[in-house]
Amino acid sequence: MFYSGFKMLKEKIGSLKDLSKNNQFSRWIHDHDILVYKNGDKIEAVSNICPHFGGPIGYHDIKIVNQKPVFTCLWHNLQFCINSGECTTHSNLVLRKYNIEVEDKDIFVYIN
Amino acid sequence: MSKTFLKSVSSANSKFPKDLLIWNYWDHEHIVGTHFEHYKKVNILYEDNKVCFSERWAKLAFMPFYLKTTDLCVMTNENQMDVFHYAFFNLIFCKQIFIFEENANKECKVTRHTHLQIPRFIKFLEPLFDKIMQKWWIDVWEEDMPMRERRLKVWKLGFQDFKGINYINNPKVVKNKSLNRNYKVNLPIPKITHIKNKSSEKTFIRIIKKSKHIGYGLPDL
Repeated sequence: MFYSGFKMLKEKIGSLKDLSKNNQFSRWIHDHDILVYKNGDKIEAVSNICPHFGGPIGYHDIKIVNQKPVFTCLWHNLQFCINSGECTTHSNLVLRKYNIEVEDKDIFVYIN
Repeated sequence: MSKTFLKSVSSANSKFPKDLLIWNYWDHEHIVGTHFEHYKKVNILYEDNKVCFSERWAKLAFMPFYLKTTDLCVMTNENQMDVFHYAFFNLIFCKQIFIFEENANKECKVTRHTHLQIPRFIKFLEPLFDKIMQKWWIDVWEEDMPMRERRLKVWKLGFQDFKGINYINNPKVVKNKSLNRNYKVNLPIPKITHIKNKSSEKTFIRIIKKSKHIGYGLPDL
């Protein structure tokens, strides 16, 4: 996959089994901390590094706040909409969403 | 009534630079998240680059309820932080002194001196007090460890507060492999509650019942 001329690496990040217990897991791959989670029937991935101070976004269940599904940073309660990656607590902070693919029972992520 | 102090000294060596530890200690909001079993709320009344005056709602050992404390935190010098705790209509007074000693490898030792004011006739409780303080020290140290390790990890990758990491934010940016920068803290640490509320009261409340129920810190932060 290419991102505006930049080649993206396709890396295995886990398997469907990793999602079975908590509906989410996170892994560091090539210095990207990536949170993989179930959003309804879909499997999605987002950066697990809060742009505020660097805390983890995952480790909490998804909450519905103001009709938006959000993850909450463990350190300082910043909340991020999982659909857009935008911070709903503080403007101008956005989490990167990663493209993923599921092949058989494995989950792959595209990173630069 | 004649008064004296119960005293206790605890210390630990870390692999972290002094400024990172000061960042951790000066981040008064994190106690609600990281130390969620002991705190549910913090209200920062005033803060500048040397002083923080706050209220905390803390659950102490063997107490089934939260105790509101008033806390004054002072950076006495670049290697020392003094904290004055008052509670229960100022009947309880405790002073803690944190000494930061960084070696040539940028690894810092922290020593905490605790002085709890008590009526002289219960001075005999000092061994028990010391035992409780040592346990508290170890518990808090371990609770903070994932946060410190993660903070240092992202810092080494180029993390900037309120920005994140450039090669993660923008896939077109190539990661800088030779990034080697010293950790530097600038007080006061910007508080998200201050920015959001823009009011005089800066209350930070725990909004998640538990903070690590899915395994924070395992295995790679």
